[in-house]
Amino acid sequence: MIDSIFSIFEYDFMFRALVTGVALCACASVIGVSLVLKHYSMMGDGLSHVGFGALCFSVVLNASALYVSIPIVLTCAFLLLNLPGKTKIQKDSIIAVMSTAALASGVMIISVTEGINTDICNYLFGSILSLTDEDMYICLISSVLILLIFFMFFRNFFSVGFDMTFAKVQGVNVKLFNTILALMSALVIVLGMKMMGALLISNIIVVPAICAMMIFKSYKAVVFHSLIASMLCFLIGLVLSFELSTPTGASIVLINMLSLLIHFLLKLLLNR
Amino acid sequence: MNTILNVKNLSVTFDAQKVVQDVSFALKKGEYLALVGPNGAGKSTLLKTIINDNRKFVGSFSFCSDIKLGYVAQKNSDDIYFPATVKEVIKSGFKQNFFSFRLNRQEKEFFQSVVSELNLSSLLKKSFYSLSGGQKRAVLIARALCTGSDLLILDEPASGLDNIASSRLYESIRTVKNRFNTAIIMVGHDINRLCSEADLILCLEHTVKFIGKSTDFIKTPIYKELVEHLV
Repeated sequence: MIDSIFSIFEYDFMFRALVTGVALCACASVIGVSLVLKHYSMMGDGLSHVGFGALCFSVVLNASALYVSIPIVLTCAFLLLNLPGKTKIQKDSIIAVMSTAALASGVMIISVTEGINTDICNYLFGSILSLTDEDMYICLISSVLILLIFFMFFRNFFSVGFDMTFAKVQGVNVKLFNTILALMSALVIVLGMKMMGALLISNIIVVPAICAMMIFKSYKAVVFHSLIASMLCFLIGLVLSFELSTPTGASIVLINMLSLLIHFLLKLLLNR
Repeated sequence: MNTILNVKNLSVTFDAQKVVQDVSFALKKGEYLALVGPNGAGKSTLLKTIINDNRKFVGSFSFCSDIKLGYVAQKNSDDIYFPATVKEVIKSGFKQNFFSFRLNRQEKEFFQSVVSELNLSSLLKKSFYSLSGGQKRAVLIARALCTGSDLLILDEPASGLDNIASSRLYESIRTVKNRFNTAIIMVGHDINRLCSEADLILCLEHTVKFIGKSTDFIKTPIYKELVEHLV
């Protein structure tokens, strides 16, 4: 049985999906811990809608989706993390406004120009068949960079998340770390849209972190468990989607939801 | 000269109101300054200005070079979903180095000494949020100490604590001062306790009503007024 599982990765497109997905899930999970703890769980969803809008714009321009989406999503991520502090508008309101405006803009652009096509649908719901070697390498390099930065400044991310005022007094550049977090989140969203889909990408950011937080009380344990759970759920989802011929993005999300249920039951068991 | 903090004619405006007016004082190394006054007098605003959390001020304040500050806020985050053990919280006070998962030997020794002085050894593996209010404050003081702080700034650390927990906290602060020779600025409402513990009293009601030794403060009408309102 294990041989047959390994054999599916002999297909080029499956190998690309495996490498891209594992890399993506690893960095999505660690970023997800920071976002969930800062009450920015909906940020992934909001940014993915912005990514969709940016994608529609790139289709009209006939430009590379990645190179158009990244700066737009990065800018919006930066605004999302900084606007609540500078204005009196709550962060969930800003996310709601930004995501709906971006989605509507994307739909409008497409409807008056190209019309909905396969590319747009793939980005909405994900398609592992559309992943290219270029996508895989970009994702791999970006993920290694994100993980390096996160673990290099591990205690700083903890400090800024736990007590921003104390971190500032300590001399930590809180603004810089918030900016880095925004940039990393945006990058994960844009890279993950092709495989997971804009409508589903936020699931792999948020759910592994929530699962880990149900069981573990230490920050280090939460981060590492989130990392492992995310990659495991991805692998199971990917293999199942191949065997059962189901959409990959949706399969991974449902496996994550199953994982959430298992963690919840485990938490109830441990609390007895 | 062992002055570590010099505040000169500091005024802070908040929402078009002068909350702090023309405050001046100097703090020496190892000195314990208690900041007292009625609610809304500008005590927390003064502290937040000094730690650079409030930039709209006139006047000046300066620290001696290379000073390390430790700060314990008036209100801790009530977020029960942040996973952190007591050990992780205290460790986060140390200087952040790249890939710093473990403490070096010197940091470990200092960590052990702080933890044992504040009687936190049995709590290290517990979740921070499962602790009582007094225990949390002790942990945050330990964290502030681990910055190697020359000056500990405590904003109403005894707020919301019962008498026993409050008493334990004051003892911890005294221990910290004696053991580590850390200067302290503390905002509090337990006037009698502060007068017996602190070296200096600064009574603030938007402006400085009194600054000097605690032994002199208890002879003033302001002291009697503040104590009367407590009864």
